[in-house]
Amino acid sequence: MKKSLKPYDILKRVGFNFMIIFVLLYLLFPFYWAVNSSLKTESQLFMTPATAVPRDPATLEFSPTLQNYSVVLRDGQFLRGLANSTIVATASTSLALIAGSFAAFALGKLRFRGRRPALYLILAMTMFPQVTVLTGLYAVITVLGLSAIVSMIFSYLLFTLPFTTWVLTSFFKGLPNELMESAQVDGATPFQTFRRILLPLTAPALVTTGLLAFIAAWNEYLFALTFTAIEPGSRTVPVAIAFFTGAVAHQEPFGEIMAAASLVTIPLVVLVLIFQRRIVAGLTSGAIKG
Amino acid sequence: MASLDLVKLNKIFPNGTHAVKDVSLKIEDKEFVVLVGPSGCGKSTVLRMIAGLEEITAGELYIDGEHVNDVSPKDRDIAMVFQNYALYPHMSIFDNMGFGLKLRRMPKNQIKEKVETAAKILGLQEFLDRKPKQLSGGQRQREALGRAIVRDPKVFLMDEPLSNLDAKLRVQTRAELSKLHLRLETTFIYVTHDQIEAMTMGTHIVVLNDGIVQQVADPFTLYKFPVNQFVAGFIGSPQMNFVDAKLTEANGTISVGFKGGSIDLTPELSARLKDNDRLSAREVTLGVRPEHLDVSHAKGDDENIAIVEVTELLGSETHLFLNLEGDTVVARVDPLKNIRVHDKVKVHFEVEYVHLSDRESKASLLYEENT
Repeated sequence: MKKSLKPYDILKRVGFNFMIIFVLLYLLFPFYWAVNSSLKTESQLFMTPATAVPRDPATLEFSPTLQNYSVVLRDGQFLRGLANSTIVATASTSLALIAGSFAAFALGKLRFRGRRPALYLILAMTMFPQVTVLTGLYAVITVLGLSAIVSMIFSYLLFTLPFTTWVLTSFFKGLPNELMESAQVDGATPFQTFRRILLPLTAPALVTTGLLAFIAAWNEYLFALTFTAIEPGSRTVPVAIAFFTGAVAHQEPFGEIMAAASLVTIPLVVLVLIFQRRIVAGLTSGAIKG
Repeated sequence: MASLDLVKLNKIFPNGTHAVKDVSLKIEDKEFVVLVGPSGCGKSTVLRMIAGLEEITAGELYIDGEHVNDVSPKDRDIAMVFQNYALYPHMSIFDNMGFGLKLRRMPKNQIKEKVETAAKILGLQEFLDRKPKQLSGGQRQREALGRAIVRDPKVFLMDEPLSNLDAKLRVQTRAELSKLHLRLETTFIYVTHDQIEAMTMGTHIVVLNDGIVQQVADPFTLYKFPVNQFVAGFIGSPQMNFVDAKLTEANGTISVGFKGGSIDLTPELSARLKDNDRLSAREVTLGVRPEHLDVSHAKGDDENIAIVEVTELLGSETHLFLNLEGDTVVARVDPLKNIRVHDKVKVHFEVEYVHLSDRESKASLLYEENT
């Protein structure tokens, strides 16, 4: 049955859809422009007015090029950056998840003195801007003589760990106490309860927080820039892109930067697509009673 | 298979709530003990203290003669069925039931054997590969039982295991639990707020209120000889009627007078009254169960006349809500009786079954130990 719509309802619907389209455009336009530019040659990039798709300067026919990509993919700096980024983001995400889930189990499910202050302290850690702690961190790293990769892994925990702990704590809190008690009566130690009962049930939260932590680490620029200053071989991808020199001297390799930027997005998109299914599957299988 | 001994158990929560007060209880081997009481009476806390999930603030707990106050739950050899079953959602029914055994490092083939035996008892054989969410409420409930059965515990603890089932299933499962108890020959301790569950399944019933044990007795004694007004009102449905009354004695007969009339006590009941309870004009509460009231159409100026305010037809019986000079009493009468709302009726008391309690202390005046 179709309800007859009043003019006001139609207006509301149109307005709503218009807003969705606006938000979508706002979010996607920068990425679209990066891809668009990455497919253009030097001369196509300098065309005025700028074209919405790569066009031949003379005939205005659609003529994209993959030249930028082939340059970027043969660039040792960039590939090295990709590898470094993968190592750093994966390591710091894993560490954050491991330490975070332990902490979250304790904070969410165990009773001990100082639980609340501990929670707020963790939240407070996220309060300091990166710039504030940067100098201090750099001093610590120099004194300890840590390599750039290791220092990035540990300094990224500064923002990934409080976040994962905080989110996972609320998730652990939401799991019924009876599950723990039941495991306890069944004879499980607290660690077995955590490992065999609660952790599998937090999988969806682990995936979500892990994903966000990974993205944050993957995109991080300031720490990476500072810590790799004297160790260019350890540059992560965002820094590597910023230091792109291009094939020709004294010329900003805009197309290549855009190609690199587009390539860097792919792993994140793939990760989200893979885990999105897991998130949904996990959420539905977590039901306790019904 | 074990006896339990609770000696003056107390529980005071960190927030200061004194949930359990001096609960002493002896539970014999193979008994089906039901802890019953209104919500917040401390019955679940007692059970959780027995399980070891709640620390004992004061008092001693013995299982099979062994002092277990400081023994952790897994070493107490108990199994517990939780109200919401607490099944592990990510494990199959088989793994759920075998989890406790696996943790105890039992060989795989033995686990399989035990789980399959339990599944057979509970009719869950076909579902062993499924996850809890693929089962119906009743099946989940049985799976929770199965998890307890495979462990062969000394004591079975159950915390309102039927409250998530629908009414019909609950009645069925009640009978199944009784059968299971006979079959397993183990001590069962069962917590419920439902007096019907308590009456139908328990070999002994412990009535709790405000953290204090009111009465421990078998179902029949509890129904017939409640120790105080709380127990009298809690056991039985519809609830016992209570009417303010006064005792008077004339020519050796004690009569109980209330606003709407009076009744004479039988010599047997009078004999049970202690001497100082027989004092004239003593203020008491008269208690009478709905099934011990009957009505007939009033003729002339009889005593004990009431107006019918509401009739509830249940088919097998009819409940009449009667206005007895301002006191509302419920009578359970033959449905074939032709009584309508606003009828004027005479109320008949089955005098040998009435209860009397002190108006102040609420203690029964007719209660005798060993009756």
